[in-house]
Amino acid sequence: MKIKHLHPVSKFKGLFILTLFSLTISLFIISCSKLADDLNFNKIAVPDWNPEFAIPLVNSTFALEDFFNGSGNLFINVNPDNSLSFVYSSNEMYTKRAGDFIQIPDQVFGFQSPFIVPPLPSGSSYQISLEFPVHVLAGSPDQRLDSLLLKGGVIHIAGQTDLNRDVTGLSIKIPEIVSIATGEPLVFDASLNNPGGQQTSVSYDLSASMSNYKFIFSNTASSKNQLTFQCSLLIQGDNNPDQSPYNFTINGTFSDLNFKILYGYLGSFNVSLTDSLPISLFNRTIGGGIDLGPGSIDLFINVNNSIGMPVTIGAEYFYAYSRINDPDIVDIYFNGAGNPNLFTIDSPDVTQVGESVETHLDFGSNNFPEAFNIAPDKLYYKFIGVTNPLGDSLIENFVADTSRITMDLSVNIDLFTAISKFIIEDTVDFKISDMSKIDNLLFRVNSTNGFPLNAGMQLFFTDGSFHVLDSLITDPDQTIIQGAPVNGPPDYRVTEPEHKTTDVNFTGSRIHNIVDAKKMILRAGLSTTNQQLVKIYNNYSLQIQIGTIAGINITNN
Amino acid sequence: MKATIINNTLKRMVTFLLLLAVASPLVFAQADRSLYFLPILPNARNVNPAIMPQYKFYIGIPFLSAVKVGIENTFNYDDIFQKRGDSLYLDRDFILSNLNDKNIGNLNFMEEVLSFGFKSEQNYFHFRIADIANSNLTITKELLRFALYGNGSDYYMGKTIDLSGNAFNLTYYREYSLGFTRQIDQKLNVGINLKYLQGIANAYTKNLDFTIDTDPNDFTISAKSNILLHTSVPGSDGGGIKPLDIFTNTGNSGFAIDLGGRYIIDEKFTASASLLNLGSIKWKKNLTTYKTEDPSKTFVFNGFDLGDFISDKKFDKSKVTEILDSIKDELGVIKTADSYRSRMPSTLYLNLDYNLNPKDQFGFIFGSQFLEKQVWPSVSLGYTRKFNRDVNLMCSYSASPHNYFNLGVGVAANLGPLQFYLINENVVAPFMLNKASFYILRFGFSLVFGDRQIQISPAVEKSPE
Repeated sequence: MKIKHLHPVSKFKGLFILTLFSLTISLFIISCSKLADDLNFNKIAVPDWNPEFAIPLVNSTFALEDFFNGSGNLFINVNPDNSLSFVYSSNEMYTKRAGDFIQIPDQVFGFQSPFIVPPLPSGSSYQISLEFPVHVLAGSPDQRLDSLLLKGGVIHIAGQTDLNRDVTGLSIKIPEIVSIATGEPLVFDASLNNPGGQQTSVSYDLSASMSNYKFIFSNTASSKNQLTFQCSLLIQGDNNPDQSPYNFTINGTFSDLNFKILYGYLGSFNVSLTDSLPISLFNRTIGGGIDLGPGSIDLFINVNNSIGMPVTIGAEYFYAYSRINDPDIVDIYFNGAGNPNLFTIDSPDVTQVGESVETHLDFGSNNFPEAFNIAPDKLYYKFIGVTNPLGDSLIENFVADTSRITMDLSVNIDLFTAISKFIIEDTVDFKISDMSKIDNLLFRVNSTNGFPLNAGMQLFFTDGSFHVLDSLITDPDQTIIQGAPVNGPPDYRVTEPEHKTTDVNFTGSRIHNIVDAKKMILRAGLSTTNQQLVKIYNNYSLQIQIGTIAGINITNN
Repeated sequence: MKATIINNTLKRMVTFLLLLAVASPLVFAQADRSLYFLPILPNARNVNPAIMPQYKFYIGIPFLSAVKVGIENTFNYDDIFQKRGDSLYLDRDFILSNLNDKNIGNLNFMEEVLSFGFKSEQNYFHFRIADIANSNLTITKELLRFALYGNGSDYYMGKTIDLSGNAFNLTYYREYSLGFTRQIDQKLNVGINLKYLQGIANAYTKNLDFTIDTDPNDFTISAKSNILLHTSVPGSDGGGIKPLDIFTNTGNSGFAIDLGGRYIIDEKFTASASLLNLGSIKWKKNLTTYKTEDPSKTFVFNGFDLGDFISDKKFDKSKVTEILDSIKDELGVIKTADSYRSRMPSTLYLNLDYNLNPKDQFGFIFGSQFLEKQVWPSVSLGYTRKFNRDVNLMCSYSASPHNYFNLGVGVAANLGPLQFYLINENVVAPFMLNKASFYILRFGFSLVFGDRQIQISPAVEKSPE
C-alpha cells in the first residue's frame, strides 16, 4: 500500500478554509444584526421638518348665473344696457273650469189640460193641439239663458189620458230643442189607443238623450228661459160613446244636463287663484336684507281668460314673508300704497268662443322695495276673480264648459342695489378622509373680483349636533373677497376688478378637528362696495384660485 | 426626548434610502476583478477569456458553480442616519450634505446554472449558462432635495426645479456563452466568449427629465418633461406574471462578445487586457413605452375648475377619473409599445501582474465600466499567496471615484476534485455595514480534473515533465 505524504499545509487546509469561511459568515451575521438593531424604526425621532408641497387646487371663474343655477323659477335677464335682472316667475295658476262652477240643475215640470172631442163617425178624424210652456231654472235667479249646447243629459216625459177612442196618436214637439247635427226640433210620438174604450185611461212614457242638442230659449220681459212643449192628439172616429170632456197630463224631467257652451247672462261667480313664489335670492339668508334702487322692481301679471264674462280680479292677500327678519310679513300693494289690489282683465267676445284672450299688466308703482328689505324667501298670494261685477243683466255672456282663467306673475328685480350687511348660510354634510399624513396646511385664496361685492366668509366645522369644532377663518371680520370699485350714476359700473390674497393656516389639532367634523356650515356676509348703490352687469365675473401648501407628516405620535 | 413611532410614509422613505445606501442597485461586473487574483479558478476567464484554466476539464456544480451578489453605491447608511444616544435622527440637510450631485446605486446578482470547459491541445473550450440580474439607478441630489423639501418650501418656491439626470436600468437576462481560449505561443494567450442573451425583463429610461416651476403667488405649476421609458415585463399584457413566463420568455434576443489577451512579458511580469460584454439586447416582447410627445411643450396646471365636478349642484365623483385622464393627456406623456435596444454595460480591464517569487504575486488592475450615460473607473491592487497548486489566498485594495478604501479577501482551494472559492470584495463591510457602500460576495463550487501543472506565472511555469 502506497502511503501518500501530505504537505503540512494540506493537513490543515480543510480546517483552515472552514474556519475562514465560518469566521466571515459569523461576522457578517453579527454586523447585520447590529445594523438591524440600529435601524429599529421605533428609535427614529420625529424630524423637525416636513416636506412641503404646493398644489393648485381650484381655478374657477364664476359668472352670476353660476351662483343661481338650479333655481327653477329664476331667469336672469340681460337688459339692453347689459345690466342684469332677476326675474322670478310663478307657476301658472288656474281657476276651476266653467263646467265645474256653473251647473244647470235638474228640472221637473208637469201640466194637465181638459179637452173636448166632437162626435166622430167611423172613418173621420180629429186633431187637438195643446201647448205647455216650460221654464228652465238656471243656477241663480238673475241668470238669463239664451241658448245651451249640451254634451249630456236626459229628458224624460210621461203622462196619460182618459180618452176612450180605439185609435189615437200623440206627437210632442219642442221647437226650442234642436239637434245640432240635423237642425230638426225634438219630436216624440206615442200611441194612445184604447180599443173599445175598455180602459179607463191610457198612458205614455218617453225619454231621449240630450247629448248634441241645443236649447234655444225664449226670453221676454215677462218670462225667461222658456221652452214650449207642443202636444198634438190625432183621434180616429169610431162607435165608442162620447165621454167628453177628457183630460190629458204631461210630467217630465231634464236631468244631468251638461253643457258645452252656454249663452246668456250668467250672473256673478267667484273663482280663486292661490299660490306662492319662492325667492331663491334669499333662500339661505340668515340676516340682513338689501336696499333696492328706485324703480328697480316690477310686478308683471299675465292672465289668460276664456270665460266670456266681464271679470275683475282682486287680491284677497298678497304679502312677502321672511323667516328670519322682523317684521316677518310685509303686505304688498301693487296699485300704490292704500289702493286695493284690484284689476280688470279682458274677456273673449262671442266671436271668440273657445279662445283665450290675454291681459298683461305691469305694476311698477309698488312697495316691493320695502318688502325686499326683510329678505323674503317667499311671496304668498290669493286672488279672487268675480264675474259680471257690475251686474248688468242685459249683456251677453258665454262660457264653454272648459272656460277658465289662468294666471301667472313674475317679479322683475333689476340688480341695482345697495347692501350693507347681508348674511347667508348653508349647511352641507361633511366627511373628509384620514389626514394623518398632513402636518400643516396653508390655503391661499386668490380672488379677482369683478363684482362690486365684498364677501367675508367663514366655514364652521361642526359635529353631528352642530356643535362648532373649529372654524376656517380666525378673524371673523376678514374680507376674503374684496368688492371692485364702482363709478357713480347713472351706470354704477365697476371700474376695474379687485384682487385679494388671503392665507389661511391649519396646523396640528385644528386638522384633527376638521377630520372629526360631520357638518360644514358656510356663512358669508355680503355687502356692496362701500355699501353704495351698484348695478350688476353681465360681464362681471369672479375668479377664485385656491392653492395649498401641505406639510407632509412623516411621523405620527 | 419623546419617543416616536415612524409611520408608513417614513418607513417607505427609509427603506428606499436604505436600498440606495446599503443594498442598492447597479451593474458592477467590475466586482469580478478579484478573480484575476485567484488564478487557480477556471472562473477567472469570466474577467478575461484569454486565461487558460490549469485543468484539462472542469464542470461547475449546477446552480452553485458561481453565485454572486454585489452592491455598490455612492453613499451609505451613515450618510442618512445620525445616531444620537439611543435615537436615530433624520436630518435632511445632513443627508443632502452627504450626497453627490449624482448618486449611483448598483445591484448585481449572478448565478451560473451550468458551466464546463475542457482542453484540447493548445485550445480550451468553454460553455456556460448564467442568470444575471442587473439594476442601475441614478438619482440626482436635486430629486432627493425635492422629495425632502417639496416644491412648497421656501427653498424652491419661485425657482425652477430641474429634475433631469435621473435614470434607471433594470435588466434580467439569461446568458448562453460559448468560449474559446487559444495558447498562441509560450507567451501569448487570446480568448473569446460569444454570448447569446435571452432578455427576460427590463425597465430602462433613456430620458427621465423634468423641470417644475411653482408660482409663489397662486402655486400654479408649470412643468416640462422629456421622458422615454421602456419596459418589457412578462405578464404586462394583464395576465399576471407566471414563473413559466420568466423561464421560457423568449423573443427578446441579444448578442454580446468578450475579448481578451494575456501576454507573459518575462519571468516577473505578465500583462493582460480584456473587453467584456460588448453587445445589446433587442426588446420586442411584453412592451410598454412611456414617452413625452413634445418635450418643448410646457404643461401648466393652475387648479381644477369646480364646474367640471359639479353636476346638478352635487359633486360628481365619476368626473374625477375623467378629469385626471385629461390632465395626463395635457402632460403629453403617451403610452405606446415600441421595441428598443438596451446596450450591455461593457467593461474594460487592464491588468499587470508581478511575480515576486513562485508563491507571491502582486497585481494591478485598471477597470472601467461603460454605462449608458456614465463611465465608472476603478483601480485595484492585489496580492496572491499560492500555498501550493491547490490553494490560493488573496487580498486586494480597490478604489473607485466614490469608494476609496475597499479591502478584499478571497480564498480558492481544491479538496480533491472539488474546488471551492469565496471572495469578499470588502472585508471591512461585514463589520461596518453602516459605513459600507460597496460589498460583493462571490462563491462557487466546481469539479476540476487533470491539473496541467501549468504555473500561473512564468516564474513557476515549469512542467513537471
